[in-house]
Amino acid sequence: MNEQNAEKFLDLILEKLIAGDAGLKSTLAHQPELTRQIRPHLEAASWLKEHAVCLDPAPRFTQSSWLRVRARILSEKKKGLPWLNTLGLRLQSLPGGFLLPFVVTLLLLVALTGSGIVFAAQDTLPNDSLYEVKRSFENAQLTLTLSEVGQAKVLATIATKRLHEAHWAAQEDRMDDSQTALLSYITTSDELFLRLNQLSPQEFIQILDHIERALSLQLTLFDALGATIAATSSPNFEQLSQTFQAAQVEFITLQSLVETVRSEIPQESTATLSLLDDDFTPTPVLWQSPTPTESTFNPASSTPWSSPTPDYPFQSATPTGDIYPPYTPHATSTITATPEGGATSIPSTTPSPTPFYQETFTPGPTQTPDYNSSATPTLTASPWPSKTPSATPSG
Amino acid sequence: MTNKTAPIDAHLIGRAKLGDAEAFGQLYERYAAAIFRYVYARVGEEKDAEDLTEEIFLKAWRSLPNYEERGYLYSAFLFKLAQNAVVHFYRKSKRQAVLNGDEMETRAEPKVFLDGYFERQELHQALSKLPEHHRRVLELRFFGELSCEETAQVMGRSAGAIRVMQYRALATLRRVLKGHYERAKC
Repeated sequence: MNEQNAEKFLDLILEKLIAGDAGLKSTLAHQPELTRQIRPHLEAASWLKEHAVCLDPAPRFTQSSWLRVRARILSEKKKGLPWLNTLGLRLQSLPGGFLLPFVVTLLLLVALTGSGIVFAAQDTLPNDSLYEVKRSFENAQLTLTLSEVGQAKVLATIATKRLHEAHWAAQEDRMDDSQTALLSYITTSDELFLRLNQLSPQEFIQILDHIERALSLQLTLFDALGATIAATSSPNFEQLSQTFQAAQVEFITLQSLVETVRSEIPQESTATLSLLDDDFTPTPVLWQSPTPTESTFNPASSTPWSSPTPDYPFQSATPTGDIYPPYTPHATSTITATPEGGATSIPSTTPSPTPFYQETFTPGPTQTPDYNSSATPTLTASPWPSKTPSATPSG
Repeated sequence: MTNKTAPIDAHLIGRAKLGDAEAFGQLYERYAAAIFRYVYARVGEEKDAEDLTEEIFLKAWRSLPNYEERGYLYSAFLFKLAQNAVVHFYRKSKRQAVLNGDEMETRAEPKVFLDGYFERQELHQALSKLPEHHRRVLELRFFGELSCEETAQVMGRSAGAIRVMQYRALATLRRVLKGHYERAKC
């Protein structure tokens, strides 16, 4: 009986020891008899815990290995659509070969779209009842997009949507949902970054405009979200703020990549853009390289993409002063995104007939900011939200 | 890593089952380090442990459509996969399941030698002197950071049996360490 008590007591103490609970000593002090009995066990346990540290993975192991695992997952997803298996469809084993999964997905998509569920789901936020429908629809869109370029476009659109959801949820004081959306934004942007790095230079040029427009819109959303978070009194402020910072790092990473690519395009290549991209509007260019003289492009080289993976410049190379327009919410405004093909300015009063990021996507009924930002976003994202009264930080 | 995390896991698994890779990424973030430590303690080579950890999670992704909780915690499911992967690893490479210190020394690279090498060697030497089931309990509890209930599910025993086992395993380990340090003093 005594040994049984000791075993239970040891287990209780071990839970605290493994979790690094500060109340361990006081628990031991309350049971001097049992403590004496389990002393040798505790010595061995402490030794084990100390030595467990030497088995810890390298600092960035989790992140880097996840990138590898995800790349394999994505390639398997393309082939096998494992998420459809949840519907009980063993697609790989059915006759029909490679095309069958696409046909089934297409049928599901048509059925869902036709029934209006997908349209209803567009205005949902994380944890809303139809939110999973929205996400499934996006997954289906990704699956049905065959080209790498098209998939990157879809991912950019999805990332912008997540950021919009994060802002919308924050405005409605749904901070947990805002955080969920921000986390999704991080993963989607990460996936986009990976996908963009796999594109050939020609492919990248095809979607450069689209990605730049997405980033431009994201910059204004970050600005508005930062202001909303700074004004919140949520108990989860710290956590949300950290996620916001992480999301900004993802944004800056993408932005740096795009900027590098833009700066390495030779003039003649810019002229051929119109041949490659139907949406391309030659002048004026939204994202000029801030320092063209620093371009690493070597015309003699057969591969102008000398540094596809950029450093992570947290500061703009060419500071342009106050780049953050004051946040002025409009009671009845809707998202006025950059129209397709118009890469220069965002209209302030006339909403775009076709928001570039999604034809079917309509913002929710809540108050949304006027994305009347500077026409030429610079390479610095919003500063971290702080509890200071200033809601619109300057660059 | 306790049963308290089960509802969060269930939510993430639900999303991952729908094809949401990012939800699976969050599961990866939660468990990758623990799985790595457990595998590293078993195989003794950092590179092998990294490769096996990735394989385990890929297998977990592929198994998602078939995974149903039904009281079986996802952490336990992952460690069961890890256990099988280690067994398969040794079967495949025909290596000894327990590495002794001499082998470690010949295989150690300079970086490993500098970075916690002696601690790992001590750890392997001490654990290799324990009966296999005692060693597994301690590895799952301390390196995998599993609770008694989770360890019980991985090992197919009751939680009570695991408590008894860990009690005896730690007593044995203490004796092993005492002998080890007394020899070292001499």
